[in-house]
Amino acid sequence: MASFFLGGYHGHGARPRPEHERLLRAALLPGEAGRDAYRAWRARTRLDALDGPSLRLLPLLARNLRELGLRDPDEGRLQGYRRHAWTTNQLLFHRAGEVLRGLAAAGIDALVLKGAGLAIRHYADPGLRPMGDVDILVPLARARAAMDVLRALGLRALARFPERLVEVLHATPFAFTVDREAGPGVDLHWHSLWDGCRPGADDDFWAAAVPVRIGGVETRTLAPADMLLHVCVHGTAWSASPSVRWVADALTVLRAPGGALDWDRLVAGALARRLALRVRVALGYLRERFDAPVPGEALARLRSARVSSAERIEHWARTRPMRGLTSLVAYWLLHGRRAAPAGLWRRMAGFPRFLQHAWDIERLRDLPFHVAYRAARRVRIGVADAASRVLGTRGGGDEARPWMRECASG
Amino acid sequence: MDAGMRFRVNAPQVVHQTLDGEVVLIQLASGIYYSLRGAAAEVFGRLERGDSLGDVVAGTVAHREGGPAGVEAAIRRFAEELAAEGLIVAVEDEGGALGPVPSDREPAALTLGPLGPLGPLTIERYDDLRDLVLLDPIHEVAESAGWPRRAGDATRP
Repeated sequence: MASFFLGGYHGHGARPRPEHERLLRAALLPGEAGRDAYRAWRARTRLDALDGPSLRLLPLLARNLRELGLRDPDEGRLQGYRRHAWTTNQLLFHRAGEVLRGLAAAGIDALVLKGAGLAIRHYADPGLRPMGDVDILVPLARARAAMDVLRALGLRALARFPERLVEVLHATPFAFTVDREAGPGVDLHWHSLWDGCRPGADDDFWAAAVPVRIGGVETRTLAPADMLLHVCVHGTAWSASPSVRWVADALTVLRAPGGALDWDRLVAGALARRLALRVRVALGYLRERFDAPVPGEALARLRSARVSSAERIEHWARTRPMRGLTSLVAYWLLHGRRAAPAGLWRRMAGFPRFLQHAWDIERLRDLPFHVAYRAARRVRIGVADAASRVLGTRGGGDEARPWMRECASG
Repeated sequence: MDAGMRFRVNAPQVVHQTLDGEVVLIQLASGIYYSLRGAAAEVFGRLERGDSLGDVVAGTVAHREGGPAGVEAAIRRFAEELAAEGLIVAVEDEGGALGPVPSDREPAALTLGPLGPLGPLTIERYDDLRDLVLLDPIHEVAESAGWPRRAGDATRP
């Protein structure tokens, strides 16, 4: 039974697919292990056919090849991709600096999560960690005021009713442009994690935050142990685009010079958030497949923690595609985390309203239509996936980035 | 330009990074991208770390083939171009005047690259960063050079 929950859904959840794992090893491991992984990956790979998650690892691969003394036949494009990543990150930092300055002027405390904090504080060169947006955390009580600041700065909420999301989710995306096709530029968080949507959940993160400078503005990011916890939990959750770079992020934090990681803090944070299972699976994978310096004692403490049935089901639901019934299970458990003190009947009574807000639906009475629409869409996606497998077609290339045009305009 | 003049990168308007020997710079306000390679990256590196113009010239002449006058003129012209592009600014002394700044560092010899004649001090400039960042860095670029050179762009060095 345990293996059913811990097996790891390949591709979009905890465990990267084999081709992604080969690339990760080529991009991250030193010596013969890195060389062997590179040769194995390259023998099966055309640069033109790489998917988005693989492309985002190319800057790390380009750097590691230099250190391994290897030359790729496509070295020009590899180095070019690294220059492109550095440039787009700098443009994004510049715009994020304006947002952070605006929040500070409004008296709103802020810290940066994920990519920006990692790229600047942990990676040797910010261009090694391509990013699509900047994640900014504000206190829960100031989330709506922060949305007003972002709008005043010209950013556009991608949700129709972002204020409602404060009650149910952890974050919402804003775009730097009014272009309807544009991707997000800032993910505004009022909780650091999808799995931590309750008041006070991030108090320990705020208390230990460390300084970082982004876009010329002094701000803060998570302390290393908190960053690793966040990377493990966020990275191992299912996402539409396989989040393989959490492995690179985690190893980069683990290898950072400047002293040993505070493992007591990481374990305590995982236990307090009822995320011991997720963190244990992630750290175990890093140790097993990448020889990561994860102390056995920390893993043992996570392993000995009591894991409830709800946590096991949540782990299962969060590391598989958020579609159909799995999606409903994940939302129900998230709702349960928020409304934990309430009884089952009150929790059930509040669930339709929770879904209305989480799915950005204008009126509660429209919820049944949305459920039917989502079910129909799920069937259509299933048919398309099956057809794609039969025809042998697959997506390739990087995402469109029209928002970068806005970033580059200064 | 006085031989004692020192410079710094014009931050925060300009951000830069050295990637495997190539210096890339962005003018954030205007959205212009620059690339310095070879000798240009070497000389920029010395100017950036605070060596005076005279120290850069002396170090280069001592370790390179070619006449001192030619090298000095090339480096001065290069520094003037960098300053004209707004990529570097002269460091001011405590009195606020532009000019030499005392340094307790010994001028270091250029140690990068072959000790042949000084290569061309070229500033590659790309005015269209807004469009360049939208360029697919795998499928729409020159295969040998990579981004930011577009596929079929034969006008760049």
